Amino acid sequence: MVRAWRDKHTDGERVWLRRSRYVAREFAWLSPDRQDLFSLASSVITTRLLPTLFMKWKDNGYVLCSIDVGDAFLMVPQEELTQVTCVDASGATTEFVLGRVLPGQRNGSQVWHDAFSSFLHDELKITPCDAYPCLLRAGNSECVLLLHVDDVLCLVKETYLNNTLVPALRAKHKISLDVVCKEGDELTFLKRKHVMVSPNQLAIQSHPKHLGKLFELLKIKRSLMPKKTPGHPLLDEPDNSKELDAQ
Amino acid sequence: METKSDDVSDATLLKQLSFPYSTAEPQLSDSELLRIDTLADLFLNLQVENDGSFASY
Repeated sequence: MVRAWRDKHTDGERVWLRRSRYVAREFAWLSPDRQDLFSLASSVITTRLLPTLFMKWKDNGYVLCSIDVGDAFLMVPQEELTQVTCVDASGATTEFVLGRVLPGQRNGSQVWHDAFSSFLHDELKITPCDAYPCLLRAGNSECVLLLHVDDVLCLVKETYLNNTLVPALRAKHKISLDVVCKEGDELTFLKRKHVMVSPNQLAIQSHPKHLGKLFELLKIKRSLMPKKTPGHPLLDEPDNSKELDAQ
Repeated sequence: METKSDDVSDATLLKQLSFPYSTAEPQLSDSELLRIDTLADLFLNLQVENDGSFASY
Protein backbone atom coordinates (compact mmCIF):
# COMPACT_ATOMS: atom_id res chain seq x y z
CA MET A 1 0.00 0.00 0.00
CA VAL A 2 1.09 3.52 -0.71
CA ARG A 3 -0.62 6.30 1.19
CA ALA A 4 -0.57 9.97 0.25
CA TRP A 5 -2.42 13.23 0.65
CA ARG A 6 -4.56 14.23 -2.32
CA ASP A 7 -5.88 17.70 -3.06
CA LYS A 8 -9.57 16.92 -3.75
CA HIS A 9 -13.02 18.46 -3.82
CA THR A 10 -15.69 16.62 -1.85
CA ASP A 11 -19.23 17.98 -1.55
CA GLY A 12 -18.03 21.18 -3.19
CA GLU A 13 -15.36 21.73 -0.53
CA ARG A 14 -11.62 21.64 -1.17
CA VAL A 15 -9.94 19.21 1.22
CA TRP A 16 -6.82 17.16 1.79
CA LEU A 17 -7.88 13.53 1.42
CA ARG A 18 -5.76 10.68 2.76
CA ARG A 19 -5.67 7.96 0.11
CA SER A 20 -4.38 4.40 0.06
CA ARG A 21 -3.71 2.57 -3.15
CA TYR A 22 -2.16 -0.68 -4.20
CA VAL A 23 1.30 -0.24 -5.70
CA ALA A 24 3.61 -3.10 -6.60
CA ARG A 25 7.25 -2.84 -5.56
CA GLU A 26 9.45 -4.72 -7.95
CA PHE A 27 13.16 -5.04 -7.36
CA ALA A 28 15.33 -4.03 -10.32
CA TRP A 29 18.25 -6.11 -9.06
CA LEU A 30 16.20 -9.29 -9.56
CA SER A 31 16.24 -8.79 -13.34
CA PRO A 32 18.72 -5.98 -14.13
CA ASP A 33 18.97 -6.71 -17.87
CA ARG A 34 15.34 -6.27 -18.91
CA GLN A 35 15.04 -4.49 -22.27
CA ASP A 36 11.24 -4.24 -22.45
CA LEU A 37 10.69 -1.33 -20.12
CA PHE A 38 10.81 1.68 -22.44
CA SER A 39 7.72 3.83 -22.15
CA LEU A 40 6.92 7.02 -23.98
CA ALA A 41 6.52 10.22 -22.01
CA SER A 42 5.77 13.80 -22.90
CA SER A 43 8.28 16.63 -22.62
CA VAL A 44 7.98 20.06 -21.06
CA ILE A 45 7.66 21.66 -24.50
CA THR A 46 4.70 19.54 -25.57
CA THR A 47 2.88 20.14 -22.31
CA ARG A 48 2.88 23.81 -23.40
CA LEU A 49 1.93 23.00 -27.01
CA LEU A 50 -1.70 21.96 -26.49
CA PRO A 51 -2.56 24.86 -24.12
CA THR A 52 -1.03 27.26 -26.65
CA LEU A 53 -3.02 25.75 -29.51
CA PHE A 54 -6.14 25.86 -27.36
CA MET A 55 -5.80 29.61 -26.93
CA LYS A 56 -5.52 29.93 -30.72
CA TRP A 57 -8.32 27.50 -31.62
CA LYS A 58 -10.87 28.02 -28.83
CA ASP A 59 -12.97 30.26 -31.07
CA ASN A 60 -13.33 27.30 -33.47
CA GLY A 61 -15.13 25.11 -30.93
CA TYR A 62 -12.07 23.50 -29.31
CA VAL A 63 -11.80 22.92 -25.56
CA LEU A 64 -8.85 21.84 -23.43
CA CYS A 65 -9.52 18.79 -21.31
CA SER A 66 -7.60 16.67 -18.82
CA ILE A 67 -8.69 13.07 -18.49
CA ASP A 68 -7.92 11.02 -15.43
CA VAL A 69 -8.18 7.30 -16.08
CA GLY A 70 -8.82 5.98 -12.57
CA ASP A 71 -8.30 2.32 -13.39
CA ALA A 72 -5.57 2.74 -16.01
CA PHE A 73 -2.97 0.05 -15.25
CA LEU A 74 -5.61 -2.06 -13.52
CA MET A 75 -7.36 -2.75 -16.84
CA VAL A 76 -4.28 -4.33 -18.42
CA PRO A 77 -3.94 -8.11 -18.05
CA GLN A 78 -0.83 -9.36 -16.31
CA GLU A 79 1.66 -10.76 -18.81
CA GLU A 80 3.27 -13.29 -16.50
CA LEU A 81 2.42 -14.95 -13.20
CA THR A 82 3.07 -12.34 -10.50
CA GLN A 83 2.73 -12.87 -6.78
CA VAL A 84 2.73 -10.01 -4.27
CA THR A 85 2.60 -9.62 -0.52
CA CYS A 86 0.34 -6.82 0.70
CA VAL A 87 1.10 -5.19 4.06
CA ASP A 88 -1.64 -2.91 5.44
CA ALA A 89 -1.27 -0.07 7.96
CA SER A 90 -1.84 -2.44 10.90
CA GLY A 91 1.02 -4.68 9.67
CA ALA A 92 -1.22 -7.57 8.55
CA THR A 93 -0.02 -9.30 5.38
CA THR A 94 -2.00 -10.95 2.58
CA GLU A 95 -0.69 -12.83 -0.45
CA PHE A 96 -2.17 -12.09 -3.89
CA VAL A 97 -1.59 -13.38 -7.39
CA LEU A 98 -2.13 -10.42 -9.70
CA GLY A 99 -4.52 -10.74 -12.62
CA ARG A 100 -3.99 -7.15 -13.75
CA VAL A 101 -1.06 -4.76 -13.79
CA LEU A 102 -0.42 -2.60 -10.74
CA PRO A 103 1.33 0.78 -10.73
CA GLY A 104 4.93 0.26 -9.69
CA GLN A 105 5.56 -2.80 -11.84
CA ARG A 106 8.59 -2.07 -13.95
CA ASN A 107 6.84 -2.70 -17.25
CA GLY A 108 3.56 -1.09 -16.07
CA SER A 109 3.90 2.19 -17.99
CA GLN A 110 4.91 0.43 -21.18
CA VAL A 111 2.10 -2.17 -21.20
CA TRP A 112 -0.46 0.50 -20.28
CA HIS A 113 0.70 2.78 -23.11
CA ASP A 114 0.54 -0.10 -25.61
CA ALA A 115 -2.93 -1.13 -24.42
CA PHE A 116 -4.35 2.40 -24.35
CA SER A 117 -2.94 3.52 -27.70
CA SER A 118 -4.23 0.28 -29.30
CA PHE A 119 -7.67 0.97 -27.79
CA LEU A 120 -7.67 4.53 -29.16
CA HIS A 121 -6.67 3.25 -32.59
CA ASP A 122 -9.17 0.38 -32.73
CA GLU A 123 -12.16 2.28 -31.32
CA LEU A 124 -11.62 5.83 -32.54
CA LYS A 125 -9.00 5.63 -35.31
CA ILE A 126 -6.78 7.91 -33.25
CA THR A 127 -3.19 7.44 -34.36
CA PRO A 128 0.19 8.48 -32.94
CA CYS A 129 2.46 11.05 -34.53
CA ASP A 130 5.36 9.14 -36.10
CA ALA A 131 7.96 11.58 -34.83
CA TYR A 132 6.44 11.97 -31.35
CA PRO A 133 4.31 8.94 -30.49
CA CYS A 134 2.91 10.21 -27.18
CA LEU A 135 1.08 12.84 -29.24
CA LEU A 136 -1.92 11.34 -31.01
CA ARG A 137 -4.69 12.72 -33.19
CA ALA A 138 -7.94 11.78 -34.82
CA GLY A 139 -8.09 11.80 -38.61
CA ASN A 140 -9.56 15.27 -39.08
CA SER A 141 -7.68 16.85 -36.18
CA GLU A 142 -10.90 17.23 -34.19
CA CYS A 143 -8.99 15.67 -31.30
CA VAL A 144 -5.33 15.82 -30.27
CA LEU A 145 -4.19 13.82 -27.25
CA LEU A 146 -1.01 14.06 -25.22
CA LEU A 147 -0.32 10.92 -23.18
CA HIS A 148 1.97 10.91 -20.18
CA VAL A 149 1.54 7.44 -18.68
CA ASP A 150 -2.00 7.62 -17.25
CA ASP A 151 -2.37 11.39 -17.46
CA VAL A 152 -4.07 12.60 -20.62
CA LEU A 153 -4.31 16.16 -21.93
CA CYS A 154 -6.67 16.63 -24.81
CA LEU A 155 -7.35 19.46 -27.25
CA VAL A 156 -10.67 18.53 -28.75
CA LYS A 157 -13.76 19.89 -30.44
CA GLU A 158 -16.47 20.03 -27.79
CA THR A 159 -18.94 18.05 -29.93
CA TYR A 160 -16.37 15.28 -30.53
CA LEU A 161 -15.52 15.21 -26.82
CA ASN A 162 -19.15 14.81 -25.72
CA ASN A 163 -20.44 12.59 -28.52
CA THR A 164 -17.48 10.37 -29.35
CA LEU A 165 -14.46 10.45 -27.07
CA VAL A 166 -16.08 10.40 -23.62
CA PRO A 167 -18.66 7.67 -24.46
CA ALA A 168 -15.90 5.46 -25.94
CA LEU A 169 -13.63 5.94 -22.93
CA ARG A 170 -16.47 5.42 -20.42
CA ALA A 171 -17.40 2.16 -22.13
CA LYS A 172 -14.08 0.70 -21.04
CA HIS A 173 -12.58 2.84 -18.27
CA LYS A 174 -13.48 4.78 -15.16
CA ILE A 175 -12.63 8.31 -16.14
CA SER A 176 -13.08 11.75 -14.73
CA LEU A 177 -12.42 14.88 -16.69
CA ASP A 178 -11.99 18.60 -16.28
CA VAL A 179 -12.71 20.90 -19.18
CA VAL A 180 -11.48 24.41 -19.83
CA CYS A 181 -13.59 26.35 -22.31
CA LYS A 182 -14.34 29.70 -20.71
CA GLU A 183 -12.97 32.22 -18.27
CA GLY A 184 -12.66 30.80 -14.74
CA ASP A 185 -12.46 27.14 -15.83
CA GLU A 186 -9.49 25.10 -14.63
CA LEU A 187 -7.94 21.68 -15.01
CA THR A 188 -4.92 19.85 -13.62
CA PHE A 189 -2.39 18.04 -15.79
CA LEU A 190 0.90 16.61 -14.52
CA LYS A 191 0.35 18.27 -11.13
CA ARG A 192 -0.02 21.70 -12.71
CA LYS A 193 -3.20 23.71 -12.56
CA HIS A 194 -4.26 25.35 -15.85
CA VAL A 195 -6.59 28.25 -15.20
CA MET A 196 -8.21 30.37 -17.87
CA VAL A 197 -7.79 33.75 -16.25
CA SER A 198 -9.27 35.81 -19.07
CA PRO A 199 -10.17 35.22 -22.74
CA ASN A 200 -6.53 35.90 -23.63
CA GLN A 201 -4.72 34.39 -20.65
CA LEU A 202 -4.20 30.82 -19.50
CA ALA A 203 -2.11 30.54 -16.32
CA ILE A 204 -0.18 27.32 -15.60
CA GLN A 205 0.62 27.00 -11.90
CA SER A 206 2.50 24.44 -9.83
CA HIS A 207 0.89 23.45 -6.53
CA PRO A 208 2.25 25.61 -3.67
CA LYS A 209 3.10 22.49 -1.65
CA HIS A 210 5.98 21.80 -4.08
CA LEU A 211 7.46 25.21 -3.29
CA GLY A 212 7.16 24.48 0.42
CA LYS A 213 9.04 21.21 -0.02
CA LEU A 214 11.67 22.93 -2.15
CA PHE A 215 12.17 25.57 0.56
CA GLU A 216 12.53 22.77 3.09
CA LEU A 217 15.07 20.85 0.98
CA LEU A 218 17.15 23.94 0.24
CA LYS A 219 16.82 25.15 3.85
CA ILE A 220 15.46 28.52 2.73
CA LYS A 221 13.93 30.49 5.58
CA ARG A 222 10.45 31.69 4.76
CA SER A 223 11.05 34.76 6.89
CA LEU A 224 13.78 36.00 4.54
CA MET A 225 12.75 38.97 2.44
CA PRO A 226 13.12 38.36 -1.29
CA LYS A 227 15.70 40.55 -3.00
CA LYS A 228 14.25 43.31 -5.09
CA THR A 229 14.88 42.97 -8.80
CA PRO A 230 14.79 45.81 -11.28
CA GLY A 231 11.57 45.99 -13.27
CA HIS A 232 8.99 48.50 -14.34
CA PRO A 233 5.96 48.40 -11.97
CA LEU A 234 3.57 48.62 -14.93
CA LEU A 235 4.73 45.13 -16.06
CA ASP A 236 2.36 43.64 -13.47
CA GLU A 237 -0.61 45.67 -14.69
CA PRO A 238 -3.08 44.33 -17.29
CA ASP A 239 -2.04 45.33 -20.81
CA ASN A 240 -5.14 46.67 -22.54
CA SER A 241 -3.31 48.23 -25.46
CA LYS A 242 -4.04 47.17 -29.03
CA GLU A 243 -2.52 43.83 -30.07
CA LEU A 244 0.43 43.90 -32.46
CA ASP A 245 -0.38 43.08 -36.06
CA ALA A 246 1.45 40.50 -38.21
CA GLN A 247 4.27 42.96 -39.00
CA MET B 1 -23.85 -4.79 -5.00
CA GLU B 2 -23.77 -1.37 -3.35
CA THR B 3 -26.22 -0.92 -0.50
CA LYS B 4 -27.46 2.03 1.50
CA SER B 5 -25.36 0.98 4.49
CA ASP B 6 -22.28 0.86 2.21
CA ASP B 7 -23.05 4.43 1.16
CA VAL B 8 -23.30 5.55 4.77
CA SER B 9 -20.12 3.81 5.82
CA ASP B 10 -18.29 5.13 2.73
CA ALA B 11 -19.48 8.65 3.46
CA THR B 12 -18.47 8.38 7.11
CA LEU B 13 -15.03 7.08 6.20
CA LEU B 14 -14.55 9.74 3.54
CA LYS B 15 -15.38 12.41 6.09
CA GLN B 16 -12.80 11.04 8.50
CA LEU B 17 -10.19 10.92 5.74
CA SER B 18 -10.82 14.55 4.74
CA PHE B 19 -9.01 17.46 6.33
CA PRO B 20 -9.54 21.19 5.77
CA TYR B 21 -7.51 22.48 2.87
CA SER B 22 -4.50 24.73 3.35
CA THR B 23 -1.44 25.25 1.17
CA ALA B 24 0.57 22.73 3.22
CA GLU B 25 -0.42 19.09 3.68
CA PRO B 26 -1.89 18.21 7.11
CA GLN B 27 0.69 17.53 9.81
CA LEU B 28 -0.46 14.68 12.07
CA SER B 29 1.21 12.86 14.92
CA ASP B 30 2.51 9.37 14.18
CA SER B 31 -0.34 7.73 16.08
CA GLU B 32 -2.99 9.85 14.36
CA LEU B 33 -1.41 9.16 10.96
CA LEU B 34 -1.46 5.43 11.67
CA ARG B 35 -5.14 5.67 12.57
CA ILE B 36 -5.94 7.59 9.39
CA ASP B 37 -3.86 5.21 7.25
CA THR B 38 -5.73 2.23 8.70
CA LEU B 39 -9.01 3.93 7.74
CA ALA B 40 -7.67 4.73 4.26
CA ASP B 41 -6.72 1.06 3.78
CA LEU B 42 -10.17 0.03 4.98
CA PHE B 43 -11.82 2.46 2.58
CA LEU B 44 -9.82 1.08 -0.35
CA ASN B 45 -10.73 -2.48 0.59
CA LEU B 46 -14.40 -1.51 0.82
CA GLN B 47 -14.20 -0.01 -2.66
CA VAL B 48 -12.70 -3.24 -3.96
CA GLU B 49 -15.39 -5.34 -2.27
CA ASN B 50 -18.22 -3.09 -3.44
CA ASP B 51 -17.40 -2.76 -7.11
CA GLY B 52 -14.52 -5.17 -7.63
CA SER B 53 -12.36 -2.29 -8.76
CA PHE B 54 -8.92 -1.26 -7.58
CA ALA B 55 -9.40 2.16 -9.13
CA SER B 56 -8.22 5.01 -6.95
CA TYR B 57 -10.69 7.45 -5.47
